[in-house]
Amino acid sequence: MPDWLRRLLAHPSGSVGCLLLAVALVLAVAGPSLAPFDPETFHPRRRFEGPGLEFWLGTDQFGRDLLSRLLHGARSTILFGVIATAIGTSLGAAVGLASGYAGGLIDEAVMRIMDALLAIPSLLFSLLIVTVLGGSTVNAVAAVAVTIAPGMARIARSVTLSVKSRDFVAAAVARGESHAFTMFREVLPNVAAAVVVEASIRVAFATMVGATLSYLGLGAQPPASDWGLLIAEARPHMLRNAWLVIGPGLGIATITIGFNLFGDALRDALNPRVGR
Amino acid sequence: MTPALAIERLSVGYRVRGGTLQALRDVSLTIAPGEVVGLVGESGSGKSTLAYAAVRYLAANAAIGAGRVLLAGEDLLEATPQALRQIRGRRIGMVYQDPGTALNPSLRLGEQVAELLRTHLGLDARAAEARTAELLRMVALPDPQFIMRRYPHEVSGGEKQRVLIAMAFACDPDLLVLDEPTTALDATTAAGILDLIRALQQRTGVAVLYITHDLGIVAEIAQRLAVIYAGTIVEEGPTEAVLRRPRHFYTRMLLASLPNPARIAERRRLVSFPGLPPDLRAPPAGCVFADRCPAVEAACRTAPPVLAGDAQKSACRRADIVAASDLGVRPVAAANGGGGEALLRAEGITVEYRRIGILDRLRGRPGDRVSAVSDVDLVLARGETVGLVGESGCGKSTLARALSGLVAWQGRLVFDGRPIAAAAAMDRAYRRRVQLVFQNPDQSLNPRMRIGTILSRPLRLYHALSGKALAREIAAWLDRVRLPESYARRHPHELSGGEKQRVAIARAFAADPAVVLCDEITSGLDVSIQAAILNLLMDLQAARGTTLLLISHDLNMVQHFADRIAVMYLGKLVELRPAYGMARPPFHPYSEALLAAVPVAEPGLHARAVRLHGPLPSPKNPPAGCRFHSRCPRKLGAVCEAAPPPVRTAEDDHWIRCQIPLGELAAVPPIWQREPA
Repeated sequence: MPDWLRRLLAHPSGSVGCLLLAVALVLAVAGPSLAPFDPETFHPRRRFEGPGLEFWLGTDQFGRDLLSRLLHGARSTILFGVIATAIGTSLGAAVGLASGYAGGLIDEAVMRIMDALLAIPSLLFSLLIVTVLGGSTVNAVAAVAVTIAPGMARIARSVTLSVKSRDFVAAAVARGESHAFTMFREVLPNVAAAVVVEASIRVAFATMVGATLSYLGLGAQPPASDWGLLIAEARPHMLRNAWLVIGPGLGIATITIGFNLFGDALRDALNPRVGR
Repeated sequence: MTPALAIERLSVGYRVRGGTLQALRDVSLTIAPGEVVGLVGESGSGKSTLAYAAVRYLAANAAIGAGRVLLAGEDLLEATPQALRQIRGRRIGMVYQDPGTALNPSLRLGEQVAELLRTHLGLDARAAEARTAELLRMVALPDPQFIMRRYPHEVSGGEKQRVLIAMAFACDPDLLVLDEPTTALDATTAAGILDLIRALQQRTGVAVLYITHDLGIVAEIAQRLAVIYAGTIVEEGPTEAVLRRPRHFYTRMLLASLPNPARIAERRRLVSFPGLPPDLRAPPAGCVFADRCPAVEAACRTAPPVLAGDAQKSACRRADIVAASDLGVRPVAAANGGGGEALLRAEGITVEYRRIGILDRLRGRPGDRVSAVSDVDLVLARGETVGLVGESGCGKSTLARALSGLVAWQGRLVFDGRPIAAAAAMDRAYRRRVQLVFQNPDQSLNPRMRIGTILSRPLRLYHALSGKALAREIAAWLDRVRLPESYARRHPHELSGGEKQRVAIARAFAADPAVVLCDEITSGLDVSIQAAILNLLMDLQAARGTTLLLISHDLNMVQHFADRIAVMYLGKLVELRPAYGMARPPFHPYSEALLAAVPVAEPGLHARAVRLHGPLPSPKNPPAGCRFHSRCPRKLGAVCEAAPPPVRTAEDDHWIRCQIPLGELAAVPPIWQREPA
């Protein structure tokens, strides 16, 4: 087991985070096959039932089994966060690395643009993009990715600047290494840890924005069972069966908290100085 | 008489990953009232733990296993927190290594001293202020009222350390604990601080525990000396006796790893320590030094030795043979001197840093301009070693960066007969032939790369090696810098400081360079490791005929290894001379001050005090005329301020840039005086 993984698991919030993420992983992989019912089968006589022996978490306004819908929706909800973050992070890190490495006027120009993007509230920004592109899951992923990128660019750039001033970069320059080597082999690995940590925290944020977009009807479309969409559909019936909101709400909260704890612990684990 | 401080059989451990680090084991030390005791050890020896234990101010993960710490008979380990607060600062004064972090950056200096007086002595505001001014005058700060109103960042490191010393003496303490108080300072500043501590100690008669890694400093200040190694005291006794006739092999080797500036003519190879100190998480059962000792016997490894003896105690089984043993020290072959064919010729090299703010740019103003290196001429001959010496901020590192193309420069540079127009014209061929080794290997080795990858870069770039040939060559280079082959798979953080620097040296030499520029490569390392690194460098040079530029603030180390010495002050070379005649005048007044500031670990040998006054001027605004005139102890007068000094040639390869005629410079008394034994 690599050293950082052992440190991660020894970390109190790391172990809880890992546990929650393991649950999420199981849901994302095996969710549909664990579901006791088809998520789209109506049970007209069993509408708005509370938790019971047959329908563990109860049923919705059409008498569909909530647990099955949650299990079927887990994959797309979690994948949404992960994919949007991965795209946004790569985009932002590439911009930040290049900008920080280039320095000077290029850096100034790129960073001012990023600052301008950061100034727009992220949910508003996502809404803007989805409204222009039209509501669909793919467009929502793109919107959230673009929203995440400027923040990641800032982080990647500031770490790049501090790494660039270290002597091993000067040594590479004095040796006559190419820019590509210096940037990707000398600088990037030292920037990566910070970016990965930040990204793991951003997954929680992306999941939430994704759910919000679905809730607003701009992401996944019915009859999909994304958790955000589940809450949106349940909203008018919230007072008749609160479980319809609580179930997916707890699901989103668990994923968010899991990734947050994991990210915090990962930051400590990847920093060898804290561990020793 | 009750000792001022008595540490009795003290053991301190730190809880760390993988067990308990036994930082101090069964350490006893007493300091009589009015006595100065030097505690000498290297990093990790436990000397700072002892300093903190003496005021019972240990880190949170420290645990005191056993023992007593008696301050004038009162056990500090039993004292209540309130009692401790009364004792610290009041009865024990402390000065630590880094004056930059010991002061609160957001309080005026006067306020920080006055607060201490109000708290401990109950003085009112006006009395505290008057007393503060008095204290600052006592530590020879020229304008106390001015200093009192300054913030820490507005004064120099030496001035800050003086303020801290004033604070340590403020409440007329019984004991002073000084933990490396001069290590973070420049040599000439450090010498002044040491003078001050000695004078104040003699005036007040305070007992002092002086902690340092430098045997030379101890020789100058301490009456008694204790040597600590791997958490145990290995030797203790009167300073003169220990330095003249050490009775422990560690002390003996430590002495032999230091150059003696007064004996530069009788150069010998410095002793380098084999191996590493023991892992204190599992300290050895026998003698802690057994693994590195040249006279180790089987019995040394089984039973722990006892610190025994009358006046001079030693924890060595073979204490009787230590002083007489020959450590395999042999004289160094005669210097090959200058006069060889010029390989690198630098003329009028100037480096300017410019800082232009956006407002300045809009208004078309030039902004701040700092000339870090100004008009430097330097010739490096094939195969020679040139030492470049100067204090921090003098531009010596910038010169190295200019010569390796890391900063833009103006001037003329000819390398191997080929003129180089500018930094941009330094192509890969030039960079291959001129390599740079950086000061701090933690910075210069990429923490995310394995050692093998780090060493592979020059081999791939310049020799186009790959596959098996590459692996073979990496192993060969590890072997040449005396590291095991298995290190290729390690990351830098798994190596010690000295080992990392060996890797950095191997990386530079693997390019097969003609010139290696070494920028303060030993300054972060312990004395015993410094000698090993420099010996290694000399061996590599001897085998490959490489030209070396040794850049350092440590004149003593450099003059021992260099053929010629260049002295730099505020961006200008002020003197260039052969190293072997280093102790012979004429000197540039600055070189003279640097030489006199070297602490010598030889009892009975005293350097004449040559002290500089005032702080180092800012390179943004260097003094007109001779740049050294504002601090020069031999300043002639207006002529020094008016015109740049002429270059005066003393011998073929010895010149001095000074207004004072050579005859007068040559007539100065010798720097070292030997007391009749």
